[in-house]
Amino acid sequence: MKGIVFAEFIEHASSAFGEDEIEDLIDECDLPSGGAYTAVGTYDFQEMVTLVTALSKQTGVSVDDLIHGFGVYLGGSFRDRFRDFFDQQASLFDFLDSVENHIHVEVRKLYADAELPSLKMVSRGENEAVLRYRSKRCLAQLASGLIQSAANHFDDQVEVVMDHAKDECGTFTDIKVRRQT
Amino acid sequence: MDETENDLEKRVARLERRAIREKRARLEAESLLEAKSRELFEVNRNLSRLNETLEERIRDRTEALEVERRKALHLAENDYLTGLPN
Repeated sequence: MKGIVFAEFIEHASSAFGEDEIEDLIDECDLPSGGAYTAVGTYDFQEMVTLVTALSKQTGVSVDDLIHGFGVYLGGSFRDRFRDFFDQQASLFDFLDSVENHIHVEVRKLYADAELPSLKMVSRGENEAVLRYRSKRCLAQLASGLIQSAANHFDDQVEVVMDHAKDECGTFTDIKVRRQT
Repeated sequence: MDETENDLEKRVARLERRAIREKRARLEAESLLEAKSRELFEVNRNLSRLNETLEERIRDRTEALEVERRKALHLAENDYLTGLPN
């Protein structure tokens, strides 16, 4: 998993739960990387699992909630770092549509080894869109948080609902985004 | 501030660990940058060479075409058997 996710997670967790607490958490997790993450590096996804699980135990916040909250933070960070992707789109649904077709394409140009989820827009209406999340990593909650953050950027109030399902290609999560007008 | 010596020691220990992590991340980033720079240099050099080769090939082809063009013109203007102008 790309270092930016780890680096941002440490930042977010430190800000949400305390620098000292997170420093201790990293120490306790005894990670192969030692918790030294550079945004441009690549690290074992298992380290993320270890960190989130330990943080959940330490804070009492569920893994789902932790990941969702991180998603909202990460979305804000992406907006700061990669403003162009947001400015290029006129609306939230345009932006969400561009994630798979434009943003992920650009990411792979820089990092051919990036393991990104598939996030296809399978339906789109005036006020409701559905994004189908497919990944070998169960991070649909992260996608949900990122979507929430994007909605904030476009000044949209949204309700995000997740539906886990399966088809011949495997498991997926349909993320329904309902704009509240 | 009413921090006990123990608290201060702990704080120092945390800051030391953090400094070590930051340094390690920086060194890794520098190493990645160097590797990418080297790769970029190699790719650019290969492209330059390829460009030169292509330019040379274009020159050769253009010259060969010019020779053929003159031949064709001569054939059009002069009779093949007698060598007399058409």
